[in-house]
Parts: sequence; structure tokens; C-alpha cells
Amino acid sequence: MNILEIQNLKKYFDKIRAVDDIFLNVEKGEIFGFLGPNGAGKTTTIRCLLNFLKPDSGVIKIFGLDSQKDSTQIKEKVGYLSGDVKLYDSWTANDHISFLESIRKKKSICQNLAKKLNLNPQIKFKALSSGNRQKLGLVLALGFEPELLIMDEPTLGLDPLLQNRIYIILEDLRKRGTTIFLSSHNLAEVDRICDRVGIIKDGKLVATESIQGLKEKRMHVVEVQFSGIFNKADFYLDNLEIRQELPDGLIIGARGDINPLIRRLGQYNLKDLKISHATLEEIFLEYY
Amino acid sequence: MWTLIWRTIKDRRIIISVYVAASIALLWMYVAFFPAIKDQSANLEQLLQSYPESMMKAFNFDIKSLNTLEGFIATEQFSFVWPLLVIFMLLGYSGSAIAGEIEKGTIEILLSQPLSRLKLYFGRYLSGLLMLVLFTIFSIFAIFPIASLYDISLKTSHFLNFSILAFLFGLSIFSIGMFLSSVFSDRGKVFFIAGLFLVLMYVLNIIAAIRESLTDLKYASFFFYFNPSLALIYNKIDDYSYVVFLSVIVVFTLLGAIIFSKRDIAV
Repeated sequence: MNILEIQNLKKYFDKIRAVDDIFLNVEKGEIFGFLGPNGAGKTTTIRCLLNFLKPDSGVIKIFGLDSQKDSTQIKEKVGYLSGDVKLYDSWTANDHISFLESIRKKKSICQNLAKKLNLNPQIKFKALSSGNRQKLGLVLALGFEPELLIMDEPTLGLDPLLQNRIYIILEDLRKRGTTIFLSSHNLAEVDRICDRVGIIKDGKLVATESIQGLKEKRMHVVEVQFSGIFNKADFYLDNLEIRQELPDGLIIGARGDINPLIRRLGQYNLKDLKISHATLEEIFLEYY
Repeated sequence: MWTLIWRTIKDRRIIISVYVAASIALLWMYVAFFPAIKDQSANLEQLLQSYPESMMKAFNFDIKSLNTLEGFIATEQFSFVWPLLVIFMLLGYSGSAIAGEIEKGTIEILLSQPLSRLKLYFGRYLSGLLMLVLFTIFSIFAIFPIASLYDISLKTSHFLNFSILAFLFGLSIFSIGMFLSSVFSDRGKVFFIAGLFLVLMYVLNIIAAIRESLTDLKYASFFFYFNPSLALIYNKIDDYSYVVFLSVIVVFTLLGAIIFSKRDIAV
């Protein structure tokens, strides 16, 4: 069952195509990573999901409802965390919690979460460190036990300990069936917690794959050291890319069938050969 | 929506109190001056008669204003100081109500809640309206206990009438402020454009009073329709003042709501 469906989404700012014809589905209980560098269109897409921005064209359905017409209804079941949490300076965490409880007209589990994250709820927002601000943002996003959690670079600028704590919370949420849509340019983060990723480049979605599928795209990195003289031109093949020249060898990126490369290498005496699957980062860079 | 209103008023309680206290302090000062002014009213009236009529009109000065506290306070407090206070208070609030929230990024937490943009807009609007009601009541009707300290009697109906005019004037300014706040994403632009607009209207009113040939310009100024002397001395408000203020309130409030509910909000 799709919790989130995006069809033909376009959002332009004057002549800049921030999001250009995106199609995307996210299933229930899935952690979907939306991957791309700064300015690729991740935040614009998220703002369209939350109806902060009005798309120029396209349809966004969340829980089967229209993201614009039924925005209020949708947000009852959505939690949102931005990478740069901005809240009211003069309010404490308690003030924020009780304010949102009044707006949502229901009790939250925010106090428990704050305790779990070692967040003092009596300190004013302006006095909190950036890590604690992010914790408060997380508490408010998760406190109403959302069915869909939308996060825009949630661990941006956080120390590894806090990042790790957030990953544990997200993994726990996945076990409980919460759907998570997460934008990031942190590949290690996406690799660790996401089930599937969408790669966005210049506003266009260039790939949507499971993490495993992406890794199994038969992309290899071959590091070879030759015993004698070698001809670099022998390795100028369609599916090969010479990434680096070593004093006595090459580092070659290979897409698809690796056999033509192996046959070429067979013509030489080798000192050493290392073949590894490309990391997510290397796969990601293939699109850029 | 009530949560939003309650929280806004709670956050702004100190600033509202400061404006109310400043207004009451000034009111008290003028009331305290009044007995001495009244004693000298014959001499002052003679002096005023020597002033050009256009200047008296431009600054809303009525020759009868020195005989009664209503007239004196209309000229000294309610024609200039009170509008200034209400303009600062309400433009300060309206600028931060939407544009300021976008500028600071705090609007994201509100927009991500199950709260429609219209409710958010009117929550903010009603908070400002409530601030205006509180300010109008305290800053105008505080004159009754103050005047009684000096054994001065006042005409209640004149002040009631004036409070309606003052409220409509304040709400018009506030509605324009909220409209501008819905259009822009930073407070500076709201203050600049609203300030420019009000200064221009004030100048138009003065030019219209000074130059006979440009007298029709007064109709383009809010300050022409806001005449405290007429309300407090003669207990009268021109019908067109109601029409203009109510029209401005309705048009700018609705335009602000429509624009805010349809616009892009990127923090």
C-alpha cells in the first residue's frame, strides 16, 4: 500500500526548475531516502509534500488524500523534522509541547521522548545548543506518533553520538510500521537506515532503487597492479572508466559485465588484483 | 485557533502593557495640565486666532478645544500621539505575525500542524484585534478615573463615540499591516511600505489643508477620516469615515487571507 504517491510533480522558481517531473511512491512501513546534493530539489519536494509550496503541476497523494486540498487532514498523521529546527526563542520545550498538544487536541508522548533523549524541557529554545534544538525538533515530530515522518536532512550538523541515537529511533519506528521519508546527502546515513532511495539531480529523479538493488547494479571497482609495462589504451572500453592511474597500475570503474575487462587483464602479468563492489557513494557519483 | 490567540496574547502581554502604560501616562499628563490651560484659555484662544486657518485645519486644532477636556485631549493626545502609538503597536505586531514568522523560520512548525492556513491567518488576525480592543479600552477610558482625580466631568457618550472611530482607524491600519505581512517574507518590507504609505497619507492631509487647489487630496488620506476633535467635542462621526474604514478593513483582511492561503512559503 502506497502511503505517498507523487506524480508528474513540477515546481519552478521563475526559470529555475527546482523540481522537474518527479514520479515517486513510498510504501507503508518503508524508510525512503531522498538523495542528492545541495540544490538538487530535495527540500523543494518536501515543501511541496507539506503544502508549504504549491506545485506548478502534478499530483501528490498522502494516505490517498490530496496534499493541497486535504492538507489539514493529512497533517494529523504526519510528523515533520527540518535539518535546521527553528522554534520560538522565548519558549521552553514544555511550552512548545503544550502548544502543539492544544493545537492537535491530543496528549503526546513528547515528555517521554525528551527524557529518553536527555533533553531538559524547561530550558528556553534560545539557550539550547544546536544538538538539543534538533532533539526538541525530533521530540515534536515524533511526539504525536505519526504514521508518516518527513525529515529534511535530520542529522545535519549533529555529532556522531546523536546521529547514532536518531538512527536507533528511526530503526525502532520502522519496526513499528511508521513510514519515513528522509532527505539526505549523507550516503552512510542512507545506507544504514533506508530501504529504498531516490536519487535527485537538477530537479529530476534519476534513479529509484532499493539500497540492495543499487549496490547490485554490478558496479565494480577494480584495482590492478601490473608486473611490467602496460598499455592504458587497452582499457578504453565502453563500460570502463579509468578513475586513477597508479605508478604501476590503474583503478578502473566497471559497469555491467566485468568479463571484457577480465579478458584484457588476462593478457598481462599481474602483481596484484582487487575487485570490489562499488560503495553507495561511488554509485551515487555515477549519477553526477 | 483559540490556542494560537491565547498564546499570542500571552507572548505579547508585556508589550501591550507598555503601550497601554505609555498611553495612560501621557493621558494623565495632559489631564493634569488641563486646569492651568483652561485658566489661560482666553489668552490662548486669542493667540490661536492669529494662526492661519489652514494650519489649524492641517493639525486638527479646534478653537473650542481649550474650553473642555474633551477638546483639549482630542487635540493633544488623540490626534497625534494615540494614532502614533496604535500604528507602532499594530504594525509591529502585524509585521511579525506572518512575515516575521517566515523570516525567522518559525512558521514551519505552525504549517506542519493540522491547522489550515486560513485558521492560522485569522488566529493571528484576531490576536491583533484583541490587542487593539484592549489598547483602545484602556487608553481611552482610563481618562474617566484620571479626570475624576482632578474633579473634571466628562461626556461619556463622546468618548464612546470616539472609541468606535479610534477602533476602526486602528483596525484599518492593522488590516493593511496583515495584508502586507501576507505578501512579504520579511518584516522590514512590511514596516517600510506601511510606514511610507502612512507618512504619504499624513502629508496629503496636510497639503490638502494648506492649499485650497489641492483640497480634494484629503479624501486619499486616512487622517482626514480620523477626526478626534469632531468626535470628542461635537460627538459626531462623519458617515464616510465608517464607510472608508470598514471598506479598508474588509478588503485588506480578505485580500491578506486569500494571498496567505495561496502563496508559497519557503523559509
